[in-house]
Amino acid sequence: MIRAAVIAASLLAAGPALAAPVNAGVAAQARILDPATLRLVWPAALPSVTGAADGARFVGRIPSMGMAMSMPANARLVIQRLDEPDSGATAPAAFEVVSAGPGRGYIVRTSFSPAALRALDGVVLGGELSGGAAASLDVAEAPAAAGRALLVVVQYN
Amino acid sequence: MKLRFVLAVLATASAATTAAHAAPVSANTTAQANIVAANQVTAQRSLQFGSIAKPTTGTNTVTVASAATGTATPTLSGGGNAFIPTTGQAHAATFRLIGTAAQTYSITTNTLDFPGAGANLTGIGSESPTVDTGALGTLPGSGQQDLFIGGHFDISSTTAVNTYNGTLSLTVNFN
Repeated sequence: MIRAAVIAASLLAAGPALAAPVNAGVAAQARILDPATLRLVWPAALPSVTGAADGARFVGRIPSMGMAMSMPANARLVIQRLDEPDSGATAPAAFEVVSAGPGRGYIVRTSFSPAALRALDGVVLGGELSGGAAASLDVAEAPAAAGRALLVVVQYN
Repeated sequence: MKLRFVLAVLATASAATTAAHAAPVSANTTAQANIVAANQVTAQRSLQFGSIAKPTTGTNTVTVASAATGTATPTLSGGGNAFIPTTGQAHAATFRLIGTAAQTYSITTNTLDFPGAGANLTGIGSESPTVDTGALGTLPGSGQQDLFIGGHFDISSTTAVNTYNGTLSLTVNFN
């Protein structure tokens, strides 16, 4: 008896190997701060404001540590120009920070005319701020004139 | 009584069928195997925006550019008055691609997401990648390439003060 076996083999046509996607991910982080932090932390240190013909004058001091307030190891003076478009007010762009002397804090003067701010001695910081820009000054190791008495919060009115 | 063991050996005589012997024929050829490294994408560095003081008016777009530097400062655009209190706190994410020299690839997914941000961060997205060596889309001769990817989002005066954490995801298709 003769058996006939038929074996059929089918070859599957193999196409080009597909590249396997490779994934990876990393963490992303953003820290959003309140620009008024300094003003909130030191409510007793709001500056006095004196009007001037060409801008405004701000003078601020804080109590020393002996008055039961703890000073931060590092304080920072942040100056930011803030216009108020709704009221049509435009803040003066020029400013300067002047050391008022030992224990007397700082004076911040503003003006629409930068040339008007160059007369005072003891300027530690100054310039012009365009809209939205800011300047900052670390005061922990400020000039000895600062002593322990410093906080000036600049608030354009 | 004795037990008698009898070992019977049956000898099977098999008829050996002898097949006809063919003359051997041989030939040599070459064989080659190219072992390549498995394609890898590994995360090297996170995406960091640093600290941003939110605007009191208007809206700003905060952007970290796709660059290698580890001390970048985000750029601010738009009509708001947000500012960066401390410069140099930001950096783009870094992904390392490993494959073979001149291997091409395509980036199929490049997404930035801050799941818990809600409406506080809007317009969230990733920047187009840049590379440390060679060209984007082709691995250099070393078979290794770093991709730098930044990101952006919008903030406004209503953005809640918070630290927002998210994920930058990358999918690479190696050819």
